[in-house]
Amino acid sequence: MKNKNTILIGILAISIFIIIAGCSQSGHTTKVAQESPIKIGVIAPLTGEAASYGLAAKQGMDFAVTEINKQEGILGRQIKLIYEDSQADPKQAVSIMNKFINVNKFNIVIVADGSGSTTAVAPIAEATKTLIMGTLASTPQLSEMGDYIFRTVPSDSYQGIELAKFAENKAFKTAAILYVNDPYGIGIKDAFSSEFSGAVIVAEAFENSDSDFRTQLTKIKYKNPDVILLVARKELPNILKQIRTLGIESALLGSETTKDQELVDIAGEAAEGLYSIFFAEPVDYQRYREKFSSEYGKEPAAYSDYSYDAVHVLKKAITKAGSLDPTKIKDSLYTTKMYGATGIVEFDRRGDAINKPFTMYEVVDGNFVAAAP
Amino acid sequence: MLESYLIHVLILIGIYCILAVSLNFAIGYGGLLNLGHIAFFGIGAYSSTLLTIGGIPFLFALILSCIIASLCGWFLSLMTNKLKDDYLALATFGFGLVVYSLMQNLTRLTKGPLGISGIPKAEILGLTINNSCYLILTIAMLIIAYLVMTGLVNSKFGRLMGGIRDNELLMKTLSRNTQRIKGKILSLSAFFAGMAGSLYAHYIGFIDPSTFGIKEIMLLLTIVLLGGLASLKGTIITTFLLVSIPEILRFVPIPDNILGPAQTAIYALVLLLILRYRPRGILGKIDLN
Repeated sequence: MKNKNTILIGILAISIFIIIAGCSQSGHTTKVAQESPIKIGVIAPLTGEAASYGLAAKQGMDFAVTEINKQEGILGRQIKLIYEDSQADPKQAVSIMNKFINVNKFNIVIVADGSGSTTAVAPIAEATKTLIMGTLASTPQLSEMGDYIFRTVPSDSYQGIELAKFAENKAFKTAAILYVNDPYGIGIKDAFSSEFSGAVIVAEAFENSDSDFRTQLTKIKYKNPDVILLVARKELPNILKQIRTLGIESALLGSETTKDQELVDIAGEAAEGLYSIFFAEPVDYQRYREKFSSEYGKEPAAYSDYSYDAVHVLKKAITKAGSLDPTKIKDSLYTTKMYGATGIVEFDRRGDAINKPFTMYEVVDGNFVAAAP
Repeated sequence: MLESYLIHVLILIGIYCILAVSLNFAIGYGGLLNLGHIAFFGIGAYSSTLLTIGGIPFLFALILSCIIASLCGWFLSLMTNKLKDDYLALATFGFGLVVYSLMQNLTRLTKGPLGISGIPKAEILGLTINNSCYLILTIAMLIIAYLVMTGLVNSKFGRLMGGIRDNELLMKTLSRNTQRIKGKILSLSAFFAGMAGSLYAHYIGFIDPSTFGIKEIMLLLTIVLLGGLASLKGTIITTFLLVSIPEILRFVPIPDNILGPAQTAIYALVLLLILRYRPRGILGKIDLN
């Protein structure tokens, strides 16, 4: 008897859930009829391993929405972002995309998620003519995935090429690459290796969130390259410290993710002399940073900027198209150009961010200062 | 259009049912605490993907990937034939990790962490099948898997399995080749996991090693333990619950600054409540060990 009761209670609880859910949905639709904000779906990892990136992106987007809503909104309407947590899992991202398209009927979805999730949802977006704007996924694979797929973050191949050019200008002849074994790391490694005119003598991978890099670094030390390219995120401080412990003298060059004051602070003296690439015009970025800090009382985190730009460029394209039809917005995005937190925001025919200005920084006395090219 | 979303969720539930039922078959009936089960799922997904990209029709690829996974299951049972209980759990867990790092590092074959995108959609006789047909296919496969496994469990073989689970030494003294039986259990369990993997790959259209990592083993074990060991029905009910609860939660209005953590917390709470009131799982008959 007791068992039956608990099952009954369970079923009851779940049905209450569904009813609440149903009610809240219908409640929303009646509201929409009155003031109708423009709704945009957002897929982001809000929990799990990649949560720090997702939350940073969310902050950037929320900031952009506040700015837009304070002014005239889009087409005279307010805008509202509807978030769903993907946990950076492609399977969840596909579920969310299905919900956004079939239940919420969104035409525009911002995918502030990694390359895996974004590549998984891209075919669905293309098939249903839903516009997606990626803000984190930088894998070169995404370029060829369709007309409705855009991204504000430049493809890794672009970054790898610029890093290689910088290394050539510095007259480095031999290079080693220490990269994170994920789409981001592999993308930059491949682009750098094919562009660099000197020789890439060794390329070593490490897994996301590793903390011991001495095996890889010992190999690199033995080859004694002129420069080591580091493609790392939160692992950076440990890498830098271990480089110094092993007494490696090579110059250090970092991917965009290494331009993070917090990481450099943790690394302390070990970070001195690190060159980092960063995709932003210093002037634009400065202006954005000041606004952001006065709003939130802290510095914008890495990954906030592209997401911030994504919302603004969508606003601009929609206003220009004068319509919420994704096909019209898509066409207008090809010709939209604006100056955002990350400098010029414009797209090529494949929906990739192009003409991104970038600056090379060097760590001097624990701070990033612009470096000579 | 709500239907297409429901169909999507049901397909996922179907795939995970096949996967979880096959794990419960090994753990609950065979007493083999296989923590590397997700590896068979991955092997099925990758082999089916690579075969279809190589030009083999979907149905053949589906069957072949089941067979490949099954052979790997046989291989695993050969490797672990001297181990039982905790040691077997550790060894199979290791097997899962090895397969994971192979997927991660055999970049020529699997493209490593980049994953494989653009996996061909399922086609039968030259016709691409849409989601509703795919749901029917998935359910058909689930029914086949379920019938085969319940059939075996209720047969003479099933009693042998139960005997090994409860007292292997006794079975040996009755001159049963327990190793052979265990090999059969693992390869059959892997066969259906491979089937689930193939269905998954052609449905989602993108696979990378992260889908077959440690996090997923936890989800599977949770499903099996909550459903109750040696209860295939219980496993199906729990899969239904655990896969659909996160989807239901997407409709609960939660302010977006606590959205992710709140959904995870509610999910965990439901799990705890079930265990509090049903420590043997929803329809469980036996305790773990």
